[in-house]
Amino acid sequence: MRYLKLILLFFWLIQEVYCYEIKGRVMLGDRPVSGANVKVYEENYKDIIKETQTDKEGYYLLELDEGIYNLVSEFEEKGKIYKGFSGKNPFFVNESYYVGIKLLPLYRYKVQKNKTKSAIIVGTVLFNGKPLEGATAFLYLSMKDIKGMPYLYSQPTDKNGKFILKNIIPGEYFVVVRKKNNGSLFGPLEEGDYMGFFQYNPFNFEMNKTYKIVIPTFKKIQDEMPLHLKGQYKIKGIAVDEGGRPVSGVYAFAYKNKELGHERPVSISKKTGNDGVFELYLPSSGKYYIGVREFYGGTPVQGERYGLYEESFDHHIIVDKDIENIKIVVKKILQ
Amino acid sequence: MKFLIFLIFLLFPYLSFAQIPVKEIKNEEVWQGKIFIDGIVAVRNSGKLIIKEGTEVIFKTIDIDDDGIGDSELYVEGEIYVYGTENFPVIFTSDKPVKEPSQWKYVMVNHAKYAYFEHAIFESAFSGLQIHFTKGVVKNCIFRSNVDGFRFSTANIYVCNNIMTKNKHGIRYEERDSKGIIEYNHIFDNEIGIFPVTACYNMVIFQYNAIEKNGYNIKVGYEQKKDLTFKNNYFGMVFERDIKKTIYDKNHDKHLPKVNFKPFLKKNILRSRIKCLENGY
Repeated sequence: MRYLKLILLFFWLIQEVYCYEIKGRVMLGDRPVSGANVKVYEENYKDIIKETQTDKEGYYLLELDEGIYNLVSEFEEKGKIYKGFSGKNPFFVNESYYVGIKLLPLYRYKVQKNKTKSAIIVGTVLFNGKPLEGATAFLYLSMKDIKGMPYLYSQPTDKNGKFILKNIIPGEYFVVVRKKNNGSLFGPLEEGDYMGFFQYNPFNFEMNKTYKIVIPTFKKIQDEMPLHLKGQYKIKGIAVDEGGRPVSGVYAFAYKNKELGHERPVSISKKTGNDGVFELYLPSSGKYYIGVREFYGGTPVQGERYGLYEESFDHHIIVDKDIENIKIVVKKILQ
Repeated sequence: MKFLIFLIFLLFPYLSFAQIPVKEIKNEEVWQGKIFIDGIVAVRNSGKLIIKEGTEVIFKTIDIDDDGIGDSELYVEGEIYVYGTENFPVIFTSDKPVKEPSQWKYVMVNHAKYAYFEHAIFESAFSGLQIHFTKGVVKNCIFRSNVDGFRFSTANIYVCNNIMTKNKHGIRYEERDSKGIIEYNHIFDNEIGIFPVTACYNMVIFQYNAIEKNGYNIKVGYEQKKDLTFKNNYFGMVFERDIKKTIYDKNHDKHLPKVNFKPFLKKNILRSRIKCLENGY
């Protein structure tokens, strides 16, 4: 019986250890927001799992079990309500993350009757309070589909930021707006692309009704994590070609698993500049598998610039302090 | 003391005491006779390994990480040339008298300069041979009693006149950004003859193969989206309806894509003519 208690204690401790830290900062324009509510919703935005408030520097800290979540922040100041969504929503937590949230003014919506048996959405897309041309509105049946194919999507917004979605079968939907600078409709967002969530998602659109909605957007930025949150250790290195010249436009990555690409990397650097220099921030000491590549996400492709850390046979590096001056030689795959 | 022993017992799966031995090859090396691999042999990107006819490469059966798969492996990022002959093949096998799958891990060719395998036998491995991000030629080899006989993804490959038998999967692949030809192979008596797992786009051409007497001759993975083409292969049968039963695709599960296997060969072409290209395509 005593051992049974110990076993239970052991597994309880293990369970406690396997929580992940989600850190982030809530911003309104360029200023951090103290006292903003940060809410964690489950995958489909029905229930709030956890709630916290930002500290005086706008930072928040949450501990979550492995799972799929949505992060939303709300804030009221001088009678105005602000609401912000993480651009990562919905995101899978299986490691510790930094998630920044940008607050935007809350826009009311209007409802009018129409003579159809369906619902109609007439929307205006804004960026910094001004109409955003060329954005597309997407309608999803559930939040988990948001990174896949939509149920319906609009023509690009006109110069007044207007779009219209007709013939919508009544029901609950998630409305999301995106504008990708490379002109494509689908695929992961890159730095500088626009994104916006209808602030009342998920919303029940009824028949015979036309909804006039406003969707404010924000630009996706590489989450600028302050140094003290980035990680305990830093690896600084340079990507070079076979002639030893610095290589620009590649990312460095660090995995915990030897089979690269079978899980998300622990850390990804910014794209290298003309000097080829990269910095990786790692959460703890240990063994990491390091390399650089040209494209973000997916399996490397033929012709992609790619290289691995070559000081060990399986490309690992042991990290127990900051490391500098590592060099990774980049070649094109299968060429 | 009792409690300490008990705690160690509880923590045992989380502790790793032993390291897998590693030998690195950084220059040119030639193998012949009997070669024993106890752990990992890694041919680094500066290395070149030549294996001569009749060589036996024997992998010690160890499982330090206790995952049920042998840990010994040959890992190649440089060049590998395996020159077996019909009478004196090169054999990659375990040190066990009774050969069973997963007694050793694999010959893994990954981000390597080049790979050439002729008249080699791969047996009792987790994967006999894997090729990724590499140009490779595999001719006249035998893959038997492995989990996966031959496996590849994003590779430029030519695979001709090999035998894949008594594996769980004769050929398992995620095509991704691969190009190549797989022809004149005899794939039989496997649980699944050919297993396209995902991301296959018909850029690797399967033709003139005899794919017969497998649990399923072809089984499409649940994440594969695009219809697949396996034209001009022999499936051991002459009627379309019988062949369909041996292919696990949209006909078995409406969520899967279709395998187009017509026109199909009505005779086993391997008995009459085999024309492998000299050095691949």
